[in-house]
Amino acid sequence: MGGFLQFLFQNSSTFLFLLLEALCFYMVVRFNDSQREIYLSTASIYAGSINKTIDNATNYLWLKSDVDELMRENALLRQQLHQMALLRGDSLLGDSLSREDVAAFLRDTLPTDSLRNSFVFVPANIINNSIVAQDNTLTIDRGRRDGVASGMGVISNNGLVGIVMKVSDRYATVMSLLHRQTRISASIRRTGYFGVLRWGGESSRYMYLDAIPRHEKVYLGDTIQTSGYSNIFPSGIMVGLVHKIDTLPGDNYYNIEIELSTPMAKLQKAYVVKSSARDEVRQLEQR
Amino acid sequence: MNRIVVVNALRFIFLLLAQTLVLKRMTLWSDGFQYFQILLYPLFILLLPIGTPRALVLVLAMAMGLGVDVFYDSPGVHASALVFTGFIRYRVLRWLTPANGYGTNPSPTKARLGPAWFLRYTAIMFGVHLFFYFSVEYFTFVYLGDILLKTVGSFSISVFFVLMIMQIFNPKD
Repeated sequence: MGGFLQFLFQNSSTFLFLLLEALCFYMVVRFNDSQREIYLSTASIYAGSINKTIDNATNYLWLKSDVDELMRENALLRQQLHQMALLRGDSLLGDSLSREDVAAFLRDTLPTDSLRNSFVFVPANIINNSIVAQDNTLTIDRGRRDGVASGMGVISNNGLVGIVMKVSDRYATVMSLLHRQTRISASIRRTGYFGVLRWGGESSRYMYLDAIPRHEKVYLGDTIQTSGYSNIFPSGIMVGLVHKIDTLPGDNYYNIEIELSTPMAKLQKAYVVKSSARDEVRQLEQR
Repeated sequence: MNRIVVVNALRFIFLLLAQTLVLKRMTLWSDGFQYFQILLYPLFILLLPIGTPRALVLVLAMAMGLGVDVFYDSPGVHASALVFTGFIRYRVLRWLTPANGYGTNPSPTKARLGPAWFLRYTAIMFGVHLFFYFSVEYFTFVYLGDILLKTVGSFSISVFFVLMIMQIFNPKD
């Protein structure tokens, strides 16, 4: 305190100068019209930019809750998209049926209630992930309380992620696509022929599509999507693009390598797919 | 000592009246004159005794500036400039210290320190004062060109008047 007083005293004329200048500028701005105009407009410009900066900072603070909000909305939209596809009868489209025929057929035969909520999407954060092991798993922060159960599919905005293995109250482990036991039914979007997805155990970016017969035409860059046969995933979820096609002598099937659309190495958010038809279908098939 | 106080008090009044009653009207003669404003009142701050306390210089500058502002109807504009000029006076005097110091000279006048020294002193102080004044008058450096033009124009004519006055009266203090 004594040092501070000494500092004030030693620079008393400087402080007096600053005080008098402040007084002068107050008068300049207060009593002179043109200077006041300039002062006010300049001040409003700077105040505006300061406000904007603060706004940006607080935006960043709320980023997480905003993302969660968007995730929920995404989940809802996915659900609606899926229902739309069902209602339009995309899976029934073929050479003999036009879109109008399918729509009319569905309208006549199916009560729309039977299509409602056949798939529900639960947004989740991925809290643990691995890609370098032979049998990779992920952990998500949704569990039994959120309606997650073993055997449900997990997808991201970019494509497939895996299948739920074990469930606790609040968490669940997911068998990643990058797991030696992964067998998921997938089809070529262009033709509808389906095969089985399998991981070779090498790169986190590539998988194999087995059981596509040699008489079928497959091209590099063909889109691979889920077939929807397993009732784990809805049909039409993006898996990836054909990256390499090999034929082995004496083999009736292609050896197709697929580049995954999901960046497995940097997953943050995912959706658990709940199928209301799954249990019923499974019971029926096991009978 | 008393004589110096009286001289400076009289100078204060004389310069304030000359500035506000005579020189102010001269700047209003024609449009061309707006680039040639004659501002003599800073001379009061220039000629204060060398030993004047710095705080007192600031207070007197404020008083003189506000006095001029009353007549120019521009509260604070002249005052802010003159307070700044008063603030740098100490530094300018220290910077211009002659080789053998100020000695016993009480006042920084032409009669005591010579015409060359006084011209430099006047040039620095008036240059700073006028630039500051016109900057505050425009209150934005968007018109920096105009500010500099006015500074240069008013500087030449003001310094000319100062030198003339010093030639005529040649005060020792």
